[in-house]
Amino acid sequence: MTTIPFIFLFLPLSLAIYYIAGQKAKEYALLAISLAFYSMFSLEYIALFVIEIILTVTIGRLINRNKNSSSGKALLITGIVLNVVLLAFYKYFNSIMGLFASGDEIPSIALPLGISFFTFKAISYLTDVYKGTAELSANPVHDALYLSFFPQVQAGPITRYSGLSRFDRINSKVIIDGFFRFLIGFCKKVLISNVLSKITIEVFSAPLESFSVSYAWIGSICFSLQLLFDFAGYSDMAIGISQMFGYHCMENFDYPYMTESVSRFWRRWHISLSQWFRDYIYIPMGGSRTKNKWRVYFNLLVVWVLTGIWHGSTWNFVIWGLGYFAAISFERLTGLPDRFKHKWAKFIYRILSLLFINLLWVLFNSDNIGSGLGFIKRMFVCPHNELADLRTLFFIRNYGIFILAAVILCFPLVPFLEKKLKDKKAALIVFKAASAVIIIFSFIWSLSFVMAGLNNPFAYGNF
Amino acid sequence: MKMSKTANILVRLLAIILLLSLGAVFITSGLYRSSFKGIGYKLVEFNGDMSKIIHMQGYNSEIGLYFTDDYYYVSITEKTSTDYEVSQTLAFRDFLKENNINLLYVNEPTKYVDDLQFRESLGVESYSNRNADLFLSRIREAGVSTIDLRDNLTADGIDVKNLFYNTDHHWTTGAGLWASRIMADGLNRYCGYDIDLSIYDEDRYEYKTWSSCWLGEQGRKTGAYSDLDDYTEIKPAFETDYTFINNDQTTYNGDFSNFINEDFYVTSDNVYVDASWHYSYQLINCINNNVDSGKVLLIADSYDHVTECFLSLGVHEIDVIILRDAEEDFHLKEHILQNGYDTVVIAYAQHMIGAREDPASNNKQMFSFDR
Repeated sequence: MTTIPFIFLFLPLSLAIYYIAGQKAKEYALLAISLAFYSMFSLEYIALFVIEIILTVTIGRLINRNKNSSSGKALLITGIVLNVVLLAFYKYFNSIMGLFASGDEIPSIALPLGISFFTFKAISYLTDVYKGTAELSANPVHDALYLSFFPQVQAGPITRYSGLSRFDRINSKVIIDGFFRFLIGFCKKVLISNVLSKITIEVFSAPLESFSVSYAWIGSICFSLQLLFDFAGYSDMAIGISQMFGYHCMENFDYPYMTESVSRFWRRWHISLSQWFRDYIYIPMGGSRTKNKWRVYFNLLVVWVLTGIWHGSTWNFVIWGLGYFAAISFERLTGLPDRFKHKWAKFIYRILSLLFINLLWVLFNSDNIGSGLGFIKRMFVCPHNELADLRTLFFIRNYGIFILAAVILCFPLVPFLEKKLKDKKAALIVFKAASAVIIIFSFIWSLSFVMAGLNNPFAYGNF
Repeated sequence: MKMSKTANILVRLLAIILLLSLGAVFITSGLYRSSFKGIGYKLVEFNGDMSKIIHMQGYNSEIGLYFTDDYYYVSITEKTSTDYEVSQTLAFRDFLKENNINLLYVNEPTKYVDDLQFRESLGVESYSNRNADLFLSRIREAGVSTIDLRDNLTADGIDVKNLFYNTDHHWTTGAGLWASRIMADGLNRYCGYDIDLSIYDEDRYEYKTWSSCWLGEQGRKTGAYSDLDDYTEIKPAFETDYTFINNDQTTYNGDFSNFINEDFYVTSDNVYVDASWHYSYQLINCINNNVDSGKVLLIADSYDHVTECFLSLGVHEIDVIILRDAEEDFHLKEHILQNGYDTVVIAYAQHMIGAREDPASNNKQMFSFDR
């Protein structure tokens, strides 16, 4: 979605077609546009994508007719198994072949675009229909559109079926707000995430022997920022495009690095994924309301192991998930940080939480557990290396403005200022005009990076 | 008048079909590409300007490209053992010796002579000069005649930056003339030639200069951080008489100006699509009808676009080969024996040393003499 053909050709053409289409034809048009989008980026899997949609929608419709019967449950299980098996096959085929195959040519397959997100939406759709929490539209095309809606197909947010709703009144304000949200997301991705990835790619691919403490730290901090602005940028673009087409789309990020604790981080980061695991794994297993006190920790363990495995098939992702399980269990057991009475204690705990999250991101971005732990070790203990320290200084000089912008944008500065200026009409207008100018300038600058061929695909598209 | 429901649907459908057709025509006709090119290059320019303002010197560091504090582009070279290059060169020397053919190795400097200058400012090590030092010392020790043009830079008191374009990795035409005189001197000293070096006196040439006229290859990759480069065409002011030999062995006669293809001197609005002016001097096999002796095979790289022509002024016959561009079935040794060269000159920019180890390099074949 950060390519020039998408921005200047696909998107305007799609919007024009959508708004020309008659009211009843709009969903058909949007479904066709979504399939065209999928074909553009994953042509080899378009047939599979269409079959998955048809099967899931058919099963969903059949479940709806047999909600309270055993056949409904059987259909639900069939639908879920079908989707999960497909996901597991494509996601873990390469890793499994790598384990068992020998020889020079290990067979491998490409991952279909957005298959993880599709699977989660499909499971959510089937389950909600079975439970009766989703009221199906009269037209199955709406269901197909829910599963294939192009702004969300690549990396979410994982909206619910009932969440795919249109604005009551689509006026120019809705569309312009959506457009600006898209621009903001584009800038986050291209101007901040892609630029910071220059540092992280270099640091994470450098041999550990060439590290210094400062080099390791700048690499890890920049990766934490890069991942946020990559994924939050994508989400903003998805929300913005959805809005341009007159559809609501749930928020996926809420200033996650403002978190007070590790547990609360996941209420701010990839919100739709956390809610999905909560609603479709954690609560069905009994959630927190179990008679057995220890059962809740087992439930948490399952959720976090699955979260880890969903992100990747190597052991470092499992350890990453277990890290969150350990921290969240600790906070649950101790009641921290709420038990702290002093502001300073809460503040220190907040910093420690961020540090913990940062260390887990290092593990997340490493090739394996060994290199991840080696990286973390060098963040604290590392032989002196003058060249690596000089390189850190160079990074700060070269990319300082982007690092600073990323750190500032981790705080809700814009909402804070808007709130402050709420009653000062003239000042608010000036502020909004200045914001618009900054966004448009940043967009042009971002475009210049794309044109200079310095664009990267979305990191989260790989999950 | 109110449209009927069917008519309404038809009009909308037609509008959609029209839009889609326009989109398809836009893409397939190439209009899409051309309409974005103009704006696109302006954006690349803007990107370069912004990078300059915030002093972002290393955005292209993944391809080893930086610009220095004075907006001079430099490339970083990784450390190499030089083992492959040395073994290939010595084996090649032995082959030539067996066949009574002279070998002269010429090391052409890259855009800096001090590897350590980037350590403080960029936090990065470059081994370009250290690789060259190691390689040259090893082949010298084994008895290969060498010229290291970096020594001449020091002796002549020339700042290396004056030899190079700002936005391109190649050296200037003036640098080519300067280097050719030293190479001719090397042929006299090591290969028994008797070239009159006064033919390289600067005042025996005509100069024509274009200011800020072209953007080099490094500038095209990164956006124009610095100003465009100047270009100087240099031609002998004395009479020349050549027979040029095409690849298909057909010949034509002419003078020195046949080396220069003026079609490269394009000054359109878009420096990003214009050809690289460095290549206006062509590499052509030639016979200098004003000189009686000497038949040289120049194993070259792109730097030699501006040395072969000037070197040819003192040699009867020069053929040029760039190994990275040679056909797979090209046999270098057979070619040398068949053509009866008395001297082989290898003239390489020093970043060729170790290029074989760089997976992204086009220059992997440059030291593969055993073919």
